[in-house]
Amino acid sequence: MTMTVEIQDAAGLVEWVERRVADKMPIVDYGVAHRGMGNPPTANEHVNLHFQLPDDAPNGGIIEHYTRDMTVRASAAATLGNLQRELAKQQQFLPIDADDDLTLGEIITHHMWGPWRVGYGSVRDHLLGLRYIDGLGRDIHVGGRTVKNVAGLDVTRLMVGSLNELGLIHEATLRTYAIPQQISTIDLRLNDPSKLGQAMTDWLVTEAAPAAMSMHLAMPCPQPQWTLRLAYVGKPLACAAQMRSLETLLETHPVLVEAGIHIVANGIRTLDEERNQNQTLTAWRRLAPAVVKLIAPPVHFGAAAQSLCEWASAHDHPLMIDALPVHGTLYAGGDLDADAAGHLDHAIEQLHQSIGGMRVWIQRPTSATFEPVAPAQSNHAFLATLKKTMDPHNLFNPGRYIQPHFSPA
Amino acid sequence: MWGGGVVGEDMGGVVGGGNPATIHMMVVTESQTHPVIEELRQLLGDDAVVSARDEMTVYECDGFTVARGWPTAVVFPSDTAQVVACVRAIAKHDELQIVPRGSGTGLAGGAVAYGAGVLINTTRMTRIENIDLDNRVAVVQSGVRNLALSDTVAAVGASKNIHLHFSPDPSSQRASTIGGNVATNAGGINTLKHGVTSNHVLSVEMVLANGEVLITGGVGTTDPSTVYYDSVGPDLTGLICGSEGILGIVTRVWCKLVPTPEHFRTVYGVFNTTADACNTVADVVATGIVPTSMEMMDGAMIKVVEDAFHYGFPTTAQALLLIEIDGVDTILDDQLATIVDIAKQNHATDVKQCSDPVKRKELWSARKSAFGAIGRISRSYCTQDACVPRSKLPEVMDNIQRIGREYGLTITNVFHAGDGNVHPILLFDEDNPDEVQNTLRASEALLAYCISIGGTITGEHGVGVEKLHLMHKMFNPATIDTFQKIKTAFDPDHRINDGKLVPSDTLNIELLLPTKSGSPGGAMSH
Ligand SMILES: Cc1cc2nc3c(=O)[nH]c(=O)nc-3n(C[C@H](O)[C@H](O)[C@H](O)COP(=O)(O)OP(=O)(O)OC[C@H]3O[C@@H](n4cnc5c(N)ncnc54)[C@H](O)[C@@H]3O)c2cc1C
Repeated sequence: MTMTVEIQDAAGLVEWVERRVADKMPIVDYGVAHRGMGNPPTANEHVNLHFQLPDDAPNGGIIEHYTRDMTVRASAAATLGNLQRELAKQQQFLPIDADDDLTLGEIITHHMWGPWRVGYGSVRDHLLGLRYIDGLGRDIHVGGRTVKNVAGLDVTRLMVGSLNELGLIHEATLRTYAIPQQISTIDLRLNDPSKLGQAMTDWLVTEAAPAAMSMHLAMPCPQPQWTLRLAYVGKPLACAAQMRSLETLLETHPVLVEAGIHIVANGIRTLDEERNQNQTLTAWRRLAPAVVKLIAPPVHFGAAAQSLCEWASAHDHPLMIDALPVHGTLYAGGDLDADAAGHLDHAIEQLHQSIGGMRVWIQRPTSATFEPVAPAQSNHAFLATLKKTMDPHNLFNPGRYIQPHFSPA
Repeated sequence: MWGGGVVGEDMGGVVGGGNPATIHMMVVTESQTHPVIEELRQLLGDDAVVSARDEMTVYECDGFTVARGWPTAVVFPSDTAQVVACVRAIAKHDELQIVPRGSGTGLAGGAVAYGAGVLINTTRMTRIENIDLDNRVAVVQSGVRNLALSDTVAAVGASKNIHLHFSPDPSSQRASTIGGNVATNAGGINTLKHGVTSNHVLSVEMVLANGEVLITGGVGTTDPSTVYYDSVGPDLTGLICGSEGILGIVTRVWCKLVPTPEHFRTVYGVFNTTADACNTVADVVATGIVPTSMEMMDGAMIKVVEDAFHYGFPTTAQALLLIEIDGVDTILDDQLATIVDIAKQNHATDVKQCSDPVKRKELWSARKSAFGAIGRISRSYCTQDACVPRSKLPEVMDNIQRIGREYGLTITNVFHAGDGNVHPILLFDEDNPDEVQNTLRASEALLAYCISIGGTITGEHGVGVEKLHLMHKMFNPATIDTFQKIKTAFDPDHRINDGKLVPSDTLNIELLLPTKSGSPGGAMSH
């Protein structure tokens, strides 16, 4: 039996999970953006949970905004869009890259991040405390609201990326940031991304280091046209100074000159415009039937992008690619069937042989047979032990990622 | 942290954790040996095992000198395989605890064996295995000292004009190990802008109690020198940071390297009230400027530092705020002007900029040496560590003084104001038993007050054995139970550093006064 439940407040969630724990009914909450990540649930009978506050929830889901401390406590069911709107009233924001309709809980459990990580860090760095319901139906409070805190084990960070397998987060406290006075965005065109990785450290140690960076294919392979997007933030004076440093760097750095990088557009955006633009550029990931995240040493990300492009040309499969150069992460995908996706998986496997790295399928076509995560992480077996501890009845997203050798206590 | 003091006298009555319970105690004297010592010698060689009392004095405590215990032995492995071998050998003796230890600068009593136990000391694991400037990662053995890593990275990068460093900067960075920094999630003066250790560690290798080796995060399966900035699944690296050595022994760390700031501006403001200085802190942060550091001294501390270092601080001032910013050179002056304006709006009586690098160095050296100077005004002192929401700092400063008055103690302050990380320093005379007791009670009152306003019992020193009894005030029983269960998942038989950080019925530590060097003392050893 599967059924879908919508719960709109934390107290309701606690009570509802307590009941599921009592009936030993598995709870499935794969999220929206990464719902195809990992394996399908192994439990025959389960309930699908969708924990999201209505759009008119008071204060957008903020429980307390400590304005002067620049911290916020919010329901995990609050959407990022609503949170940003409320925080903006106090000239603050969360430098988190995710779509407006995603909940804070989903962003944390999937550890979603993007271009802002370069200058601000990821949600892992902004998190101060969490409340979640564990596999015994208990309300666990970890961390707190201070910006430094080493009391107790850091279960707050453990839950980041946990794919809702260790407990269900219902509240989070995070650092907030002042909305920058100006956001200057720059689009650069480049002919050959394979060189870029080598120049990245040189770039970051200059004043041209951006607050955000991402790379996109303006046209899908096989006629690639790469765009690098940067953002500088701060006072206009600061943005202008960084822009000047960038121009100098592009003219003088041999690798960047060789890669043919040049500025094609620049402008000033509001935070909302910038967020919308990022969401538009990555919207394909929510729609494509096949999306894989390739994680590699940053120095090789450009070579990986180039190699995937060549694969697309050779097999006549148009691919979309987004990359986060500073951190060596790349999303590739498109309208691929199971066979084509399997070939792509194989091509990436070969890439791993030469440059290292791992891949995580965010979306696999139905009937795909390859592994959702490869190569297997060496700590995987240990995670099963940990899951057994925190979710002894295997109720949270059973089988999704931490699955082998799990026998419920 | 307890400083000063020369008399070895029992403070009595202070219980560090949970209910009194069974402690596997074994008194080791020079002539007495435990069979494990010979086994360890066989594994590591004679020069890597210490068991004679006179050689173990230094291991009787860490920076928290009021809790002491003699280890059965101290071993100095030089690589992961040796750590595994030691763990397996020690694990065969049920009565022995396994206690990880770096340089022993910890301030919460975490690196000490209070019952029978062997210290696994990482200070010979000092290899920097790889410095990868292109990927901005260093792979190090856990015994590498914090500053040694940044110095080496700087030297390697210099020829290529690439200036990177390992950002966490505890004041103990010359001595403390990266493994210790990971285990305590160490912060420092630059934490406000650049974060604590867990923000700068990508992966760790850890030896578990059964001798298995766990690698967290995204480390290359074929080439362990490669590490990725992303992985899949729960963040075990984040969990291990700050776990105070209770989950396993960290043997290798993949450290993020970040650009070394090259341009700074430093300014200090002088105030007639601590409230004005605290309001300046909150106002600066609210503008969106994130200073590298915002450090504060109160009136008593200004006087102490001025008497010791003659920097030129006005000794009648009630607060001094030292602020540093780093970043893009061309905008620093603009940011500095904003900060100066804010300080003046908050009634700063004097604001001085410090652009001369020599003066700047002196200023920071004065700040960093503040603790050392306290000996000028008190024979003994106890430094507390708590963190509070920044906006509450004015009332926190008032309440610290109120608590001082209630217990008849002078309390002075030098602290990381930008983080809300307070370090009240309680001055006392260890020859006066009433003052000693009052110091302990006042500390409790201070921490209880910080919890009551949304703060935490420790911002950077950790729980160790010192603050075990306060954990129940911070966390509900289900959360404490979760910590215990996680500990059990890593260490099913509770063999590694058991009883620290998470309250349990394992340890009952009686806190003592610091003792004369060379005159071992402590409730656990006699
Ligand atoms: C003068 C002075 C200034 C200080 N300033 C700061 C500061 O600014 N910020 C700050 O955060 N701290 C500070 N400290 C505290 C201390 O230096 C830090 O906690 C430091 O990280 C401890 O490192 P260590 O190598 O000395 O570890 P140790 O003291 O040996 O051990 C500390 C804890 O970590 C565990 N541990 C050590 N190594 C390992 C390992 N390899 N694997 C698993 N567990 C391990 C131990 O069991 C113990 O629980 C200061 C201490 C002193 C004495």
